[in-house]
Amino acid sequence: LHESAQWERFIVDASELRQIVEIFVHEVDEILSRFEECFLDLERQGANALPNEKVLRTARMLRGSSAALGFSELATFSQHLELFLSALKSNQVGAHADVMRLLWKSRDFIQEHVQCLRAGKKTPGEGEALTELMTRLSDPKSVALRIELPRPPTAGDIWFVGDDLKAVLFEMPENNLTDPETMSETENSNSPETSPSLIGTSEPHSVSTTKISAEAEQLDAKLHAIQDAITRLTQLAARANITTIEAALPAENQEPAIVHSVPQINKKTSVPQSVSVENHQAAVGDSMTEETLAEQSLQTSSKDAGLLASNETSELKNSADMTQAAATASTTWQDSSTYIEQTSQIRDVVTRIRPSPQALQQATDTNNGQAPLGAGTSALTDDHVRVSLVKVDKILDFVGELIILQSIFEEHSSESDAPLLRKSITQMAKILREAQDVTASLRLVKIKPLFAKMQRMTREAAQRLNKDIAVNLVGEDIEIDKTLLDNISESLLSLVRHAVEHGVESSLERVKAGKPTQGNVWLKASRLSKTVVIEVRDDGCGLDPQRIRTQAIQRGLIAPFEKLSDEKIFSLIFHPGFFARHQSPLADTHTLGLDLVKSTIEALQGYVEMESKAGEGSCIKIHLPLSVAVIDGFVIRLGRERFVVSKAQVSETVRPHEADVLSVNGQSEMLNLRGQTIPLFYLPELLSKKPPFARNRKTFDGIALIVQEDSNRKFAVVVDDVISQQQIVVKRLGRELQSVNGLGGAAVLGDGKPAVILDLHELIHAPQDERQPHGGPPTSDRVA
Amino acid sequence: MQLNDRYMIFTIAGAQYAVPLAHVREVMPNVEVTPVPLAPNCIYGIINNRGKITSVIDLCIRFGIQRTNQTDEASILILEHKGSLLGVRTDVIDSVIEITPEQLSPPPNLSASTQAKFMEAVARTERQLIVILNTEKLFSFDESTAGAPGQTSSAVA
Repeated sequence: LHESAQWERFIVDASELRQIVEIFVHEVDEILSRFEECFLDLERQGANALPNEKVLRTARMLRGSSAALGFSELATFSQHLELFLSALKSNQVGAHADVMRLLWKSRDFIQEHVQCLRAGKKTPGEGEALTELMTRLSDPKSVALRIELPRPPTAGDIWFVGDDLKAVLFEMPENNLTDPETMSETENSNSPETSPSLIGTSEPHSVSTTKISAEAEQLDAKLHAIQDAITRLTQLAARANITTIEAALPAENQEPAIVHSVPQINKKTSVPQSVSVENHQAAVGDSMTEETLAEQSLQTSSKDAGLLASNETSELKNSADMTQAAATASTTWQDSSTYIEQTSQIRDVVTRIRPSPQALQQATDTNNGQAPLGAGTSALTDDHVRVSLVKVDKILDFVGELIILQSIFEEHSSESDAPLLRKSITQMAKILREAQDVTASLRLVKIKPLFAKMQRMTREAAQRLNKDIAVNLVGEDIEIDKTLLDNISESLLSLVRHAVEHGVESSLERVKAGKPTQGNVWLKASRLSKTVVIEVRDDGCGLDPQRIRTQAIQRGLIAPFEKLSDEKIFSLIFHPGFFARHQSPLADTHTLGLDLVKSTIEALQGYVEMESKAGEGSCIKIHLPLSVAVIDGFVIRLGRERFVVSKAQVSETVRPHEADVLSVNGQSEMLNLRGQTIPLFYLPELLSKKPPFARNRKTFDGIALIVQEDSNRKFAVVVDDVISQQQIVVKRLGRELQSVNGLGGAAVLGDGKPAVILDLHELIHAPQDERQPHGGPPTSDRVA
Repeated sequence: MQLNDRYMIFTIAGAQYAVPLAHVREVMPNVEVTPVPLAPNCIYGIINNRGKITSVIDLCIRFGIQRTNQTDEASILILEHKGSLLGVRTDVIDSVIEITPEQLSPPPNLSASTQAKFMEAVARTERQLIVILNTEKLFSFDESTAGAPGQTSSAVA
C-alpha cells in the first residue's frame, strides 16, 4: 500500500499529534482569513485585478505548513492553488467571475478540510484505549506499528489516516466508534493478522478511490493537452492577425481554471462517501464524454487553424473559415464550462451527503471522550477567539488597577464592623487574583507545541534525506509571548532544516569521523535575563571557516586579503548572497534562507548568534526580547526599598556567617560557599551610593543570593532580606530608562507600588564609573 | 475657549510653568514615587499609573536649578506625547488658564541656561510671565533616545 510508506514517518505520540493539529488548525484559520481578505480585495478591484504577492505568499504558507506537517492532501491542493494563482498573475488573467468562483471554492475546500481535522480531534476514538495504544506505538522501534494500518480508523485519528480509511470512517462513524471488541483484540494481540475483516472493509474503497484518481489523472493529462492545443491555436491565430480571435480568447482565459478544477475533483474523492464515489464515477464518465467531444472539436479547430496558418502566406482573405475557427474554439470553451459546471455539481453532491455536524457531535457524545483541544462544545466550531494584543494589555492594566483598589479596601476593612463587608472583600480579593492570573497568562504561551512541531518536522526531513537523527527538546515549558512565537515559527523551522540538511552528516560519514551513527539535533529554550534564548544545535560537521571564506570571496562578499575572525566569517552565512538557491531535496517545502531568518529575528528586536566548531557541530542561538512575560521572582528588601530579582538568575540563597566572608586586600570580598570561593558583592554598592541604597556595613545579617554565571562560575550578592517569592509580571520601563544597564524592567507589587527588576548579571558587568549624570550608557544596539 | 488655548500652570521652585492642557493626561496628587537606582539623575523615580510603569522626572535637576522648598506635597503631572507617558514632579499644581496667541512671545535668548532648550514660549499675564514648556523636548532624553522621538513604547508587542 502506498499509504504505509507515509505511515512510517508519523511515529508520534498522541499528545504531540494533537498539539501539531492544534497549531496547524490555527495556522490555517489565519490563512483562511487572509485568503478571504485577499479575495475580497480582488473582487473589489474588478475583473482585471491580478492576484498580488500576498495571496501567493499565503498559498505558499499553506503549502509549507501542510507539507511539513504531513497533511499531504492539503499540501497537494495548496500547491495547485499556488500554481493557479501564479498562472493568473503571470498570464495577466484578471479576477473575473469564474476565476473568483474557483478561488472562493478553494477557500471553502480548505475550510472544510480543516473542519474535518477539527471534528476528528473532537472525537478521540476509543478514548483511553486508543490513546494508550497510540502511546505504546510511539516507540519507534516497536514492530507493533503495523497494527496501526489495519486498525479500524476512528474519528480520533482521521488527521493521519489515508483517504481510503477516511472513507470508511465517514461512511459509518457509529460502527467504527463503537467497536471495542475489535479494538481490544487488536490491542491485545499486537499483530496485524487478527483484523482481516477490517482490511476487507477498507480495501474496496481504496481500490475505487485509486481507480478514480487514476481516471482523474488521465483526465488531467487530457485537459493539459487541450490547454496546449488551445494555446497553440491562439498563437497561430495571433500570428495570422485575426481579429475575430477575440471570440476565442475567453477559452484561453478559462483554461487554467479547468486544469485546476481537476485536482479539486481529486480532492473531493477524498471526502469519502461510497455514494459520492459512485456519483463521481458517473460524473467522471460524463465528463469523459465531454472530453471526447471537446477533443474532437479541438482537433477540428486545430486543423482549421493549421490550414489558416498555411494559408497565411497566400493572403488572409478566407474570413469565413476564420470565423468558423473562432466559433469552434468557442465551442471548446463552452464544453469546458459545462465541465466546470459538472465539477461543481459533483462537489455539491459530495457536500450534501457528508455526515452532518450533528452526527459527528453524536459520535462525540456517545464516545464521551474529553475534548483534547480546548473546551469547545460543538464539533465543528472554533473554540478560540483571536483578540488583539492591545485589548489584552488593556485588560491586564485594568485588572492591576482593580487589585490596587482592592488592597485599599482590605486595609480599611478592619475599620468596619460589618462582617458581610469584610467577607465580601476577602472574596473579592480571591477572585481578583484569579482574574489577574488568567489575564496575565493570556499573552503567554508555552513553547512546547512549537517544539513538538519542530521535532516532527525534523524527523521527517531527516527521513527524506536518509539520515538517522535524534531530536532532543530542552526547556519546552518556557513561556513566550504569543506574538513572538507566531513570528519565529518559520525561522525556527528553517534553522532546523538547515541543521538536518547541512549540519548532521550521513551515518557513513559519521562513522568515518568516529562519531556514533545517530546524529543529534537539540532544540533548547531558556531564559537569560532580559531575553528568551532558543537554540538549535547539532553535532554534525560544523562550519569550516576556510570553506566559508573561499565561498564568500567567490561571491564577492569579502575581499581576498580581508582578515576576519572566525566569528565574523560564520556571520557571513547570514548574508543574503551567501547561499546559492540550490535544489535541495527539501526544496518543495517552504524554507527561508538564513539571511531571511536573521532579518525576521532582528525585526522582532532580537538577534541571531552562531557558534561552530569544525567536526563537532554548530549552534545557532536566537535571542528574543521579553516584552511582557511572567517570571518567577524574589522580592528582596534593601533598606526601605524593594526590588525584584528573577528566580532564574538565583541558584540558591544562603545566610552567610561572618567567618565565611574573606577579605581580599581589603578591596573586595569573597564568600566561602561549601569550600568554593566566589566573589561577593553588596547590592547597595552595585546600585548607587545615594542615601536610600547606602549600606550599613557594621551589621552583617544579610542574605546572599548565589548567582550562577556559567557552568563553573558563581558569584554572590548580599541583600538585606528576601521578602517573598512570587509570580511577577514584567513591565517595560519608559524609553528614558531602557538604556540603563542592570534594570530588567519593573513589576507592580501586591500593594500597587512599582518595584524595579534587577538584572544581577548586568549589574556585575556594567562599568560602574562610566555612568553619566544624564542618560545612561548608550544601549547596545542588539538588545532591545 | 478652545482646547489649544488652555494651559496647565504649575509651580516648581517658586517659578510658574505651563504646558498645553491637551498634553496633560492626568494629575496625581500625593503619590509615593519608587526611586530607581542607576537611573539618570533627572529621573525622580517610577510610579504605577494604571498598570503602566511611568517615569517621573524632576525638572529642578533637568533645568539645573536649586529646589527651594522640600514640600511633602509633591503632585505628579502625567504628560502624554505620541503615546508615551511621562510624569513631572511639581511643587504645586495651580490652575488651568487660557492664554491667547497674542499673549505669547518667543522665549528670551538665554543660550547659557539649561532651561532655555525646554522653553517653547513666554506668556504675559496680568501678574507675571509664565514659561511655556515644549512637551516634545521634555520627552527627549539624550542623543540615543532623541533620535526616534516618534516611536511609541509599544512598538514591539
